[in-house]
This record gives sequence, structure tokens and C-alpha cells, in this order.
Amino acid sequence: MEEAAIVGMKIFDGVIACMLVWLAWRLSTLRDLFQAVVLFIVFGLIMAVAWVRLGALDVALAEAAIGAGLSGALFLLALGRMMREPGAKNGAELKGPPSTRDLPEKGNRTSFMGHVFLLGFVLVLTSTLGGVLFSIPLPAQSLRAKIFAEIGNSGIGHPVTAVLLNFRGYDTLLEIAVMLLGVVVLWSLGASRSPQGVLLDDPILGASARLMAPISIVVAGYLLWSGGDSPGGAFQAGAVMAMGGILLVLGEVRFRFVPMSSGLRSVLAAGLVVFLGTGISAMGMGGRFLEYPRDWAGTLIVLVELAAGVSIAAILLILFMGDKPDQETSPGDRVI
Amino acid sequence: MSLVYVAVALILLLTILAGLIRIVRGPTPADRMLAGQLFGSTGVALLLILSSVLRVPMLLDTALVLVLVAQTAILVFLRNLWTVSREKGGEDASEP
Amino acid sequence: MPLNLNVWLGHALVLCSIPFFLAGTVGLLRFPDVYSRIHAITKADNLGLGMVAMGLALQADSWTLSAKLLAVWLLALVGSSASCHLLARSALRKGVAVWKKPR
Repeated sequence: MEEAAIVGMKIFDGVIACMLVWLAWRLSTLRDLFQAVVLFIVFGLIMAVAWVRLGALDVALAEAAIGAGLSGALFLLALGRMMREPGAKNGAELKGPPSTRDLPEKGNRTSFMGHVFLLGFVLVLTSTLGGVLFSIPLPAQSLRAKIFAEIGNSGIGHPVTAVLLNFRGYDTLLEIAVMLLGVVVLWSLGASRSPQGVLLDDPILGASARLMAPISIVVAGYLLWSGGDSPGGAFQAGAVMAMGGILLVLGEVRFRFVPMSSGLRSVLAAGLVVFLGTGISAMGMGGRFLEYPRDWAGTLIVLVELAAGVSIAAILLILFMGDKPDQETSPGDRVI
Repeated sequence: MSLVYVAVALILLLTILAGLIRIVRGPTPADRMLAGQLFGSTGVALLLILSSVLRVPMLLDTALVLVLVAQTAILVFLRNLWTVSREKGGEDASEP
Repeated sequence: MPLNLNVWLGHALVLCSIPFFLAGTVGLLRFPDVYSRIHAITKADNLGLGMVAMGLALQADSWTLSAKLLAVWLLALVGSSASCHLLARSALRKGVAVWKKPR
């Protein structure tokens, strides 16, 4: 029975690979943007399964939360805002049943020579990558042995988290800085409409949001804590918490949202500040920047994960919600 | 690895494949979001089965995350894309 | 064949979920309008996922895993029911036609 099961999983992997390629091709060439976004969400889902099959559970977690969830929501939000722009194809009165043809379409079509060039480029790229791939000697050399040799010094049980937050902590620090920069850019773009959109006026909406949002926070906390020994960590936890917050916003649950308040800004910056702080304190304890001493590494990393998790949740939530309030409305408070 | 579960995983994957037809065809936007909703649940079932096939209990966390996240796309769609304007008491001219 | 009831029942339940998933997909493809399609996919959402969760829970190694499986199913129930209800309501307000059986 074992061989049949193994063959079955190989077929499974083959189908997943084909689906990924077809989905990627289809959603890039479609003119109907809404259909493309839906296919993108499906793509994120299948990608998560592919990550599982590749053994990368942390990435699968992140892909499920961010790729299939947050990105899809952001794209749909953008599409909805595009439709209300004056340039969209929706000036006329609608006759007949609603159709997707009235949604914005993509721009100019590629010329024939453009297609030829692109095809040639893709073929060259594929053959180069394929050649490189098949010329790698087996067994492939990886850093796995080195990581497991050093993992005792890192203060963390899970190798992925150890690499992210200790061995290559600098990269993660920069990633958090880039995300914060995203919020700064967003806020400097000016006011935009609330993502709440049209009122749905349905009690079920609020009820389900009130149920799922606290559970999201609990699951996020669990992911944050279990990131030490098993797949999880700050990014995944932050993404799940942000999705819980988005559910609250969409579910018309009333809460006070003060866009530029100092409290919010502190939370947004907390991840970066704490991370920098631990790096500098590592210097104080007799190492270089971000070189955690062995005894303190575990504690410092937990601190960083906590701060980064909450920060990332706030950043992603702000990226979804937008903006400063309009100048005409009262500055500061906005009750959602 | 249990052969039964591998077979179930394959069948679930094939139902996702079949559901893609509705996304491609579906006349109204609701049809496409519907198929997305089905894929969400089928995907969760797939992850649960895989967690047993591959003997990786951590996959349950991925399934949990997917479940929590599956609802937001439809909500964003209903509130921002496929809206009905209340003032005009029916279809708004600027929505699909 | 070992006479382990848990394993047998677990496998049986998971196998029983397949008709529901198939019914959901076939309904999605073959039913004539949005509302009946919503009706079809909720079968897959509730019963299909439920049977998978129950079958796997019977064979789980610890109570924690069974509890997680149950939680996944319950959350999926809440999420999908709310989403499909809101979708159907919006479709009705948008004026999507309800299919009538042709004479």
C-alpha cells in the first residue's frame, strides 16, 4: 500500500504544480480584473498547499494569512475604489442584469512582436534555470547541518525562527522597517475613503465578527508563542491579528479609531524600536550589533517577537484602513 | 501513509479544479466569490487531511489560520465592490 | 486487518465526506442560479468539512488535536454561514434573478 500512496502523492504534487502554472498564466492575461483577483486568492490558497508539500510550514502559514487573506482583501478594496473613479467604465445607466463587463479593464494590448520577445525571454530564463537546477550535484549542500549545530546558542528551539530572529536578525529588522515605511508613505498620500464601504445593515455581520475577532487574537497569541518551537512567529501572528481587526472594521463593530494618535503611532513603531533596542543592548553586553549573548538570547527574542507581532498587526491593519481623516472633519477622533 | 487519505486528498484537489470552471464562467460576480468560498472550505479540509497523511500535526494551525481568514474577502467584496446604494432604493448606476 | 474501531470509524467518516464535497462542486457547476449554488456549497462547507474533522478527530493522538479539529470545523461553520447568508441577501437586493422552472 505504501507505494500506491507515494505514487498518489506524486500525482497530487503534479496537479498542484499544473494548477499553479495555469492560475498564474490565466490571472496575468485576463482582462476582467475582478476575475483575476478571485483567481489570485485561489492562487494563494494553492500556493499554501504547495508550501506544505515542500515542508515549509512557516511560509504556508504566512501564505494562508497574507496571500489568500490580506492581499485578496486589499486587491478587492482597490478594485472597488477604482470603480468609483471618474475614468472607469461605469458612467452609463445599467440596463439588464449586473455583469462584470462594466468593471475596469486592463490597458493596452501587447503587440505581436512584444509577445514574441516575451516568449523568447521566458524560454531563455526557463532553460537557464533548468540547466542550473539539473547541474547541482546531489545531495544538495545546505546550511541545515550548520544551523542545527549552532541552534543551541540561539536560545530558540525552532530553526526557522532562530534564523529569522537571531542568525539573520538584521534582515528581519530591515523588513520591519520597510513595513513601517509603507505606513508612512500611505499616510503621506492623503485622505481616502473608509474601507467600510456601504452599510450592510445585517445583524449577522456584527455577530460573526464579534465571534471571530477575539478568536483571531487568541490564535495570533498562540502562533506568536509557539513560534519558538514550531512553525509560527511574529509575522504570522501579526497577520492573523490584523485579519481579526479587519473583521471588526468590516463587521461594523463600533470602536474608536484615532488615526494619528500617539498611542497608535507608538504601537506602530514599537516593533522596530524594540528590535533596535535589543540590538544595541547586545552591543552593551559585549558583542556587535544584534549579536545576542547566549544566556539572554531567548529572552531578548521573545521581547522582539512580542513587540514585532503587535506592530505588524497594527501596520497591516492601517494598510487596509487607510488614512488620515479628511481635513474638513474634526481632527483626531473618528468613530467607526 | 494511508492510501485512503491520499485518495481523499486527490479527490478534494480535483473538486477545486472543477470549481475553477465556475470562476471562469460564472455570469455574476457573486458566482465567482461563491466558488472562492467553496475553495476556502475545501482547502481547509485538504490541509486537515494532509496533516494526517504527512503526520504533521502543525498543519492544523495552518487550517485554523485559513478558516479565520476566509471570511474577509467576501465581506470586502460585498461592502466595496458589489454594493447597493440605499438612497436610490435599489441598484446604483455606478456598481456592476 | 486490525480491529481498531477508532481507525475504522475514522476512515469511514472521512470517506463519507467525499459525496458531500462532490455534491457541492456538482451543484456549483450545474445549478441554474446563484441562490441554488449557495445552497449547494453550504453542504460541502458544513457536512463535508464536519465529517473530515470528525473522522480525523477519532484518530488524533491527543485531546488537544481533537479539540483543534473541532474548533476548525466550528469556526468554518460560523464563517461560511455568515458569508453565504450575506452574499445571498446582497444578490437579492442587487436584483439577481431567481431561477424559475420553465414550463
